[in-house]
Amino acid sequence: MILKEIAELLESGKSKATKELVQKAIDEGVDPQDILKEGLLGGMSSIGEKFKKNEVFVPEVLMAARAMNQSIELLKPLLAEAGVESVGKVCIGTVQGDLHDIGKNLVKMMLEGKGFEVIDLGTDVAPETFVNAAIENNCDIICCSALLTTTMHVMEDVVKAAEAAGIHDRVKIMIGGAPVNEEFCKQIGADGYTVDAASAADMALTFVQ
Amino acid sequence: MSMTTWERFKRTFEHREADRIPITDDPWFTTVRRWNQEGMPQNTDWTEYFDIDKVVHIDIDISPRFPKKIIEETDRYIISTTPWGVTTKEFKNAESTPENLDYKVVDADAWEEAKARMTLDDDRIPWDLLKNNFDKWREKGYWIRGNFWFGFDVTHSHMMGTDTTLIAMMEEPELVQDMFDTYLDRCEKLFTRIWDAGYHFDQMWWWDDMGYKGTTFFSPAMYRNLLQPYHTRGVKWAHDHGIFAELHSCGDVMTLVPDIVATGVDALNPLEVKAGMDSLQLKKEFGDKLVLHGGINAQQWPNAEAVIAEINEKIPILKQNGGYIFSSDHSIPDDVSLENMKRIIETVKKVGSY
Repeated sequence: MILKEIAELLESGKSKATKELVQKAIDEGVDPQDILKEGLLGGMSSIGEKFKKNEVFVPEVLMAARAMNQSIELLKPLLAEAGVESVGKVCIGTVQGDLHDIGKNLVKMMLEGKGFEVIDLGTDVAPETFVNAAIENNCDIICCSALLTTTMHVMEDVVKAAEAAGIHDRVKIMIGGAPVNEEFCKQIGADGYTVDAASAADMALTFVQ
Repeated sequence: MSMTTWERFKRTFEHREADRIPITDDPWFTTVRRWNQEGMPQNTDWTEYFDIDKVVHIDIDISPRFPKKIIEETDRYIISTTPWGVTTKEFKNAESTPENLDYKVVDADAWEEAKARMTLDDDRIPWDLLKNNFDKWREKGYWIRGNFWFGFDVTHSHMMGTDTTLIAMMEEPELVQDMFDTYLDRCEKLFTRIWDAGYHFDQMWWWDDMGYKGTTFFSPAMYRNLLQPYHTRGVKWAHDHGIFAELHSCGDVMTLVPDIVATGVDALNPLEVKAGMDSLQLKKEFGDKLVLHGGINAQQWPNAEAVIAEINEKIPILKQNGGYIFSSDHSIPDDVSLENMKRIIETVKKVGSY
């Protein structure tokens, strides 16, 4: 019951109440993995589904993510102690020459909501930076965002850099952004494209399962 | 004999046919540079070069006038603070929306400080520009636009940040409404001063990007509750002064269009195709009351055949009964050659004639 309540509070964006209830669950001896999976990630998963269907919008997602980020700090030391790892690692960034970050940030929230550890490289990220970050952090996925028709071609450079570094066989490359589509994804040899942030997180999960 | 820009726009806004559809656009500075390299003479007004319509703007300054400061500068980019209190990073030699790195206005107290600085000093109006140019603009038959600055987009992009603004719209709606109200109040007062001085421009315009790919930042209900009253008020200012009002809203705002139309606004731009806007559907549903401006996919413009095909498909429908202004669905990127632009304009003039 308490886990369901945590999920519902997170979904409603009540950060303080969520954090308090997470602490209560810890104090009552609930397994931290269960608190994470059924409480926090359960709530984010529900928000993600509603976001896909336009039943909620960006404000609700931001508030849910805020509740998760504040609560997960309580769980991190316990999860580390128990040797619990993330479902996967992703490095994400907006490609070189492009400074837009709203879309990237939404995808990051949705990925974290699925249990991924996300290394945020920021904006204006060079292809070699994506690849080096993926190698250093042992990432499963590289996610590239672009908003401009004149910068989306850099995504192809990221694919080529990954191939040259010999990591494309084990590191998937996902792309997204306003000018991008499925056809472009196939054309450049990337592994996945989705129309929205929540679907991107779903696809990422399939790559690590 | 062809009409002036003013005559063309006036008929278009009145949903009457002119000699042809008005043709406007907004090339990036790097696009104009490319065109210069490809043969357009330097220091040429590109609208004159292509013999298209000329829209001129009146801009005011309603900012808190926080000090501007350069924090870091390299060959590629510059990080600086703006009069709105935002620390931004911009490329020097490439076009991109700036990246906002930090904000001064993050809560109600900081907003009160900024608000107190948003004064109505006379130097916030470009009086010299008006004195030296207004009469010439009229003589040349230009269309003169007054740029208002209020709403969701300018608040989150230029003052408080996306996350803070959107969460505040849920948790502190009165704060956000005070911001919307203050911005609009300053615009109304300064433009009234311009109007009362005898500078009677032709339309009011404001930017309020409410959408992105496939959807909107917030729900239609939130738009109606928090933002629509201010849009309606802005439109009223325009109509009370006998001029037209136009909203620029990027992204997919299809779900908001009925509520946008309900504000009384006369025109909608840019009708971003790649985000999901359907200009033909809008013409069918709202063509008699909403002037459509844009809707030609800028992604296709590097490919002359593709964009010409789109023009041939859409313009004959969009131009019916007036009510359509040609432009790309936002701005012209620098992968569009001078040659392509010439072909595009030539085609639009032909297909867009009445």
